[in-house]
Amino acid sequence: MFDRLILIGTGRVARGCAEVLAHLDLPLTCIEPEQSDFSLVRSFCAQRNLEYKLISERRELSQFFMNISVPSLVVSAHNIYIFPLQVVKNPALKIINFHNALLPKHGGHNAPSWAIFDMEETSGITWHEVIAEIDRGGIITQSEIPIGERTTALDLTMRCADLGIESFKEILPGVLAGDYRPRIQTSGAAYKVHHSKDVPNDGMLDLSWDIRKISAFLRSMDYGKLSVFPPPRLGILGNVFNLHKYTFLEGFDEHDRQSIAFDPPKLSIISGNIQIEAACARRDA
Amino acid sequence: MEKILFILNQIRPEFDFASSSDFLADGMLDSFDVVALVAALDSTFGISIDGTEIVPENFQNLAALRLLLERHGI
Repeated sequence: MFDRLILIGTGRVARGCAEVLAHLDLPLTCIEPEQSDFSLVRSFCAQRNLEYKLISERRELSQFFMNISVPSLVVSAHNIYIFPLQVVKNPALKIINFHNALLPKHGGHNAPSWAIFDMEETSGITWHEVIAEIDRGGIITQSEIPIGERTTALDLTMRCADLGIESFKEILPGVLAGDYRPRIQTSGAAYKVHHSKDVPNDGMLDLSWDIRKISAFLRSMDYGKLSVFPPPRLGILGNVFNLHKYTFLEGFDEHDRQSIAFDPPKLSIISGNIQIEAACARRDA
Repeated sequence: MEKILFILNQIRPEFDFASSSDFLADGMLDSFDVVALVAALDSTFGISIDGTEIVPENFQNLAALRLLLERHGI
């Protein structure tokens, strides 16, 4: 069914998919659409002597895909390039994409953050066909991941990547043979595309939230030292502060206890058996 | 060194970090893993690795990680 394989993306999930594809007896090209200091795809291709391209120019990428005339499977995994209509319409291409949420929920960027911020108990991954509308193509498979009370955006992102690779191994034979039935995504309120500039609650912690929402907000913003979002902020006493650190302390017995103490630079919020401590720094004007 | 290996194995138990001379070339750590590793090193050793130190050279292998910790007085 296919004469050529193309992998486009970065990071662990892209490398994992490349490794699976490299076992097939078909020519494989791996493309990274952005420069990365920690490029696993580039190093993998160098080790296996596979064709590798770094194409960060969107127009050049589109031209590359539009010029393909042999039947090709394109696997998009953790990929920032959006396939334009002219590429999607190329009859030589079958494009499938990995998404780190349970579509139709949380299409677009930073999906793990939005699932946590919305206090969902479960998120997961989706492999779907690519159409012109972002993250709207037919669903090939989905797998769920529970979101715990301490799950951060970084945790969930890493777990999604691992699950994405495992799911890819399962669906690949059917995709290669054309032996699968994609499930059309239902339209409705659940569908929303998050843009890269979107930040949960515009990055502002709201002290009127209950403690679980505050926890969800902080964890949704937490990618460790990766600057996915600017630091969360807190407006209090006429000032805006950046929150630099939070911890959860357990062991409180007084379940009806509620308190907020703000003694710059320390903010302490206690509710039930959860305590959040945040170190704050006044935000530069 | 044992603590570093323990942390690495907690993050990525599927890999044998002791036998690799280049974690990145061997596909063991991506950028998210490195950030998780930094958080674990910070917490375990009571240090604060700066974002500017999150570069491949500091996370290439056990020797590089040991040098990084030495620069933080560990």
